[in-house]
Amino acid sequence: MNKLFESELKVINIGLKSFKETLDEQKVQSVQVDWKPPLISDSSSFDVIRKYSDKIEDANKEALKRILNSKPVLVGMGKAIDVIPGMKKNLLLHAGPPIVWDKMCGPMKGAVIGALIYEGFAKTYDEAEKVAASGKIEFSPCHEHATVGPMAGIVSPSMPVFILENEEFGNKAFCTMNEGLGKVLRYGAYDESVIGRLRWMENVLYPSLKKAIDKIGKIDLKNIIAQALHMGDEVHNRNRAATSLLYRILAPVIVEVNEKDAAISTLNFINSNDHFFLNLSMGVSKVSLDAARNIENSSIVVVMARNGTEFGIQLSGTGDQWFTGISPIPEALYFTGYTKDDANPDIGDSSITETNGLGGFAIAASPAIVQFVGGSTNDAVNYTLKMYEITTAENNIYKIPYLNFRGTPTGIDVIKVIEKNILPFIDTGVAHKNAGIGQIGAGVLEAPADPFKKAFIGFANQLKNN
Amino acid sequence: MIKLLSFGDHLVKGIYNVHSRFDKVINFYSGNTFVFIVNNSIRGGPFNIVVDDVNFSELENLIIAEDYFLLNEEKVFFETSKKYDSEIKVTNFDEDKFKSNLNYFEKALIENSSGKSLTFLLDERRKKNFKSSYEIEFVRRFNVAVECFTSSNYLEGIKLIKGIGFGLTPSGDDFISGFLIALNVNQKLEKVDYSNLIAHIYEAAKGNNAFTNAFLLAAKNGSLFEKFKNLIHSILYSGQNEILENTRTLISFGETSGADQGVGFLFGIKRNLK
Amino acid sequence: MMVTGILKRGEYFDSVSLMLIAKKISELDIVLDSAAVMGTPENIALLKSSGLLTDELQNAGDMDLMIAFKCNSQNESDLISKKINEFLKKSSDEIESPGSQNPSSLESAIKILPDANLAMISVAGKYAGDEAMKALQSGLNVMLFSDNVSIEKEIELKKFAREKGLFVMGPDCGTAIINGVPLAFANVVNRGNIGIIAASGTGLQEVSCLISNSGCGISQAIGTGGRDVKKEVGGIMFLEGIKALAEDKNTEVILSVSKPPADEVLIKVVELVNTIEKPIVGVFLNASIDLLKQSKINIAKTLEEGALLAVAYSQKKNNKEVTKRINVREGELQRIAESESSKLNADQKYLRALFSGGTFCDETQMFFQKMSEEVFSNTPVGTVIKLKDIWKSEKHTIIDLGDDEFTVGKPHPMIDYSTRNKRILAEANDPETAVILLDIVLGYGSNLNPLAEIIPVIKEVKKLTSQQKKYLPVICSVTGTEKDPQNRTTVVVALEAEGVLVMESNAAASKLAKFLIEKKR
Repeated sequence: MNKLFESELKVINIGLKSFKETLDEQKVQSVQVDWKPPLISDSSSFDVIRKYSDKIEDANKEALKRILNSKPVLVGMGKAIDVIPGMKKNLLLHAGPPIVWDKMCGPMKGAVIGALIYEGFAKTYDEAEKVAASGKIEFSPCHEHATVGPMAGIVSPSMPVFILENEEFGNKAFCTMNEGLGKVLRYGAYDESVIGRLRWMENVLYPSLKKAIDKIGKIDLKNIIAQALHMGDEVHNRNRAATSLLYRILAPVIVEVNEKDAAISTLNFINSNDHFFLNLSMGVSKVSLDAARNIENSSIVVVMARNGTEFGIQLSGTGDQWFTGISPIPEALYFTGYTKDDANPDIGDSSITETNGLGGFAIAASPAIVQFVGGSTNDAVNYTLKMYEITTAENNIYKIPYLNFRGTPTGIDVIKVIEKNILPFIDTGVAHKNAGIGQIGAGVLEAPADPFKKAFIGFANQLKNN
Repeated sequence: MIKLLSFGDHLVKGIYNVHSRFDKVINFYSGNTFVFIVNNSIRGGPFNIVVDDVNFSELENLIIAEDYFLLNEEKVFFETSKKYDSEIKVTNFDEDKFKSNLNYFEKALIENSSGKSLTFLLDERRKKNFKSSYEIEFVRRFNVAVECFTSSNYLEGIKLIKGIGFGLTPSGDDFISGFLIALNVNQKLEKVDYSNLIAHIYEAAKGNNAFTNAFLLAAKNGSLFEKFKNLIHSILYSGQNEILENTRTLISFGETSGADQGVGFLFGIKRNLK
Repeated sequence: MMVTGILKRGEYFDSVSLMLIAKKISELDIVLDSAAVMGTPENIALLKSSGLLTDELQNAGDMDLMIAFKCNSQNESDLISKKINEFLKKSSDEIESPGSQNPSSLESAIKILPDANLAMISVAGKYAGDEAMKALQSGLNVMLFSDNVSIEKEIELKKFAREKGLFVMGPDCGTAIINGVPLAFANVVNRGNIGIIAASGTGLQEVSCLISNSGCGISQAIGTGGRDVKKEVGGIMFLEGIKALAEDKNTEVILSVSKPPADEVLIKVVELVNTIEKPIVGVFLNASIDLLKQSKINIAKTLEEGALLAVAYSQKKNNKEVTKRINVREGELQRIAESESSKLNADQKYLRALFSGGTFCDETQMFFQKMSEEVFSNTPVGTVIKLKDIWKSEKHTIIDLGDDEFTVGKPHPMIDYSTRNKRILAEANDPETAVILLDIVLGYGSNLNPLAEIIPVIKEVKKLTSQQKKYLPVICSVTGTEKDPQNRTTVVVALEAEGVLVMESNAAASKLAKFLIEKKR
């Protein structure tokens, strides 16, 4: 029998705020829900999802168990051609969902040109452009090769990469070394200084780092990130603490195993680049999320990635299928002299960090960069709090001091995104739309709705057909 | 179900984002273009879409297409019969009646508007509402500006008042909008071409504020919001009761915006009648 | 002396609230000078020349709010800044302290209030059903204020709720009083031992107020939404509500209120009631009561009679006193009608009843079923004829201004009086109008200052009728209590001061109107 009459009335008010005000006046405990209509109004997909809700819940639990139990460690380095699965001499990997040469944005084209010159396929811009368009060069998303790359994300066969292993599940992931700021390949620069730096990284930085890592054996990256969150990083837009922590581990060994000159230049390079750790935080996220791929009936997002033209996502339960939409231009704080008109649409695989409960999802841990998100720590906290609405779990290792060490919101559920009409929140760097100019700002964006809508419908259709 | 009551004749196709949100109005923007989704109490306008049965707090996405718009996923067709015509129509014009109606409008405006509106330009006594040093400076500038306007030194006058004052659209800009509307009406009444002057004033007045610019542009083009259009029609063709009612409706727009436009209009229209 | 500047970036305030904030700031004693304006370059320059510009404000943009003030000390400045933030907070939901933002979903709301037991849902009907289902699945009772929920959804929700032992009040349920708390459109009434189940919002308000005003009180008042007693829904919640009240230890008398239920539903109600010990009163407006003759239900013809019967039973008295009281009152009404009708002229023949409460429109039509001249309504019942044009009265006309046709694009007439006010004037202008009958409904949800709406119109009517050298009686019932935010006595006194004949119930008001018309003949 109904207990309502015997209990103190406590109300959840969904809709007209005046009702909540009336309740306040009468000292009745109540909570107002800021309700928004779902992103999709067609009820047939919801009906299917409701029908399978138990199965979906079980599958998502399994997916989260895998993400949270992952043990990402740095185990070594190698040349892309030697270690990345499916890598070929005439293959270039790029950020985001699949894209053909014609459709690539300025910075990605620039990075392709640079990589072709670096690989010796061409000597000049014009030559490289012809090669790129000739069909002799194949393009494929990093994500389809257990790899992630920031911004343009170009990985070519000769590039050295970090090798990460998920000790719990045995899968691997790969990422390049971060080149630093300014004129760099990932922002589409391809002049001599860029190519020169890439060669130096291949010939000096790579061997000296490789020797050091081999000597150490393995480095627990998850632990570094957990500490960095307590030190003001969210490991997407701010990597200063994580880079420093890594530096502390590497420095003595680099000195120990290398010639003096190589050691000095290696250490100086890492020291001068606050974002050195970014590629690794992406690799950590990739290797953790890959463990949760291909779980039947799971609606958890395992990839969010942008190629500068499109924004694409993949779900655990829908295999290798990409769901894409137009990539938006971030709301950003621009460096002096640049405006939104100069900005390229959002680009890079770095949103894998948000997919893993870091970056924008953990922005409450990073008061130092709140000017990117509206200026106040409140805004940052509210962004993180909102992400709990669309995620399945609170992270067991990554925790936010300001929220009483609450775990970061982890495991985006596409069903929650659609039902609640709340889109994932990403903090990101902004590239100039023309190749080679580099970073012109940093800011935030809401993921576009289209990929999530398509994924939701695709997921529902797959349930129907199973 | 969104119910479309009227839509503006100057809507621009595009994908719009929320600019600002109030109880009965949501301002959407796309670049420098604005669309205002409003409820019926706000009435029509060149950039307005007047809708009903809508919870304003829930509106998020707006797309304007050729023959329909999408608001929160709901597709609503533009029915031609609901198109709002923002142009003022002058058919027959009785100058004496017009003058006496204008005087009545002035009186109604002074009596009904908020204390901080520009009506102090019409009635000295209302200056007593301005006390703080910002407000005193505000009044001083307008007084100088009005002198500039009466001596046809428009650019100087505009420089003094544009962008100053209260509200989302500053009082000075509202005044200039009203002035531009008056020039457009004068063109029709007198069959004289003021287009150069209008363009001149508009260029001098527009600033970096896209929101205000949208209103100025409408005024420049002689596109009127329904409240203002009704008012002018009543001054042209009706009696005091209608004028009073339309004045009250006009000044219900913002705290001072409607009244400030009204004052600007009076200055513009009288400039030629005197 | 010092100047403090506060910059609020990208925060939009409509000019009305901005001016209000500016006013509040300037009214603070310790503020020597102040300004609150948007950050246009020109406003910045103006602040500068008024000596109010600070470093913070130098970089303001067109869409940023600038607040500047002068005061004597840092302490004062801090105090004023704090005040300003409070003002701003009140006028904007967007500024919130960390962690205090509202949840975006029911599920998160439950985390904040884990022992919540009722969800009030007033989102668009298309979505309300799904939200209600989620609430039920989480073990919450539901008050569904939204309309336009499909009947299939309503049935699904109610069946599910019945399984779970939960209530679904609504859809389109505007009124309920649970554990003494008035919800949505409801009045502040005494608590007591009478439980109400109602498929009619205004009906619930009227009976609960009449009970409270006669010194008794309400244990619970459950609204079901009007469609519950239709054949399709089968009275699921009406029946569940009666059962719950039968079991509730604080309820000693049950009062059920509804427009005529479907026969199938009525039969089930009768069967159920026969198993219940507590006295039960039933008001089924315009129902054929044959089906009820054999039942335990004490039938009342009007809402008022229902309320009075419930009061009598709750005080362990019998219904004879009620009959007596109503009879005595009829005599008074006859006398008033006599004197009022004598002031009318020959042309004044017709009733014009303009209601904001739908149930009142039905109830009044019940009194006007067998008139010598035709009776019209926009929502006709029985022998009453449908109005051809709802905006134009014919002969006797009884109108529900809360009906959809009148409320398109407008708030409900209990909130927005404008449509009815216009109509009142139109009726007063009609030489054939003999009497105007009105209702005023107080309580939460309704207009908080009804006198400001209605008194000017009554004055206007008087002016108009005196110009036309005629007398026009205005009769009005006021549904409300002393504890309502509007205070019933205040409203009644003000109306009577304007010569309005204020009655304690719609039934009394309708009868007076009817007697008046009959005397005239």
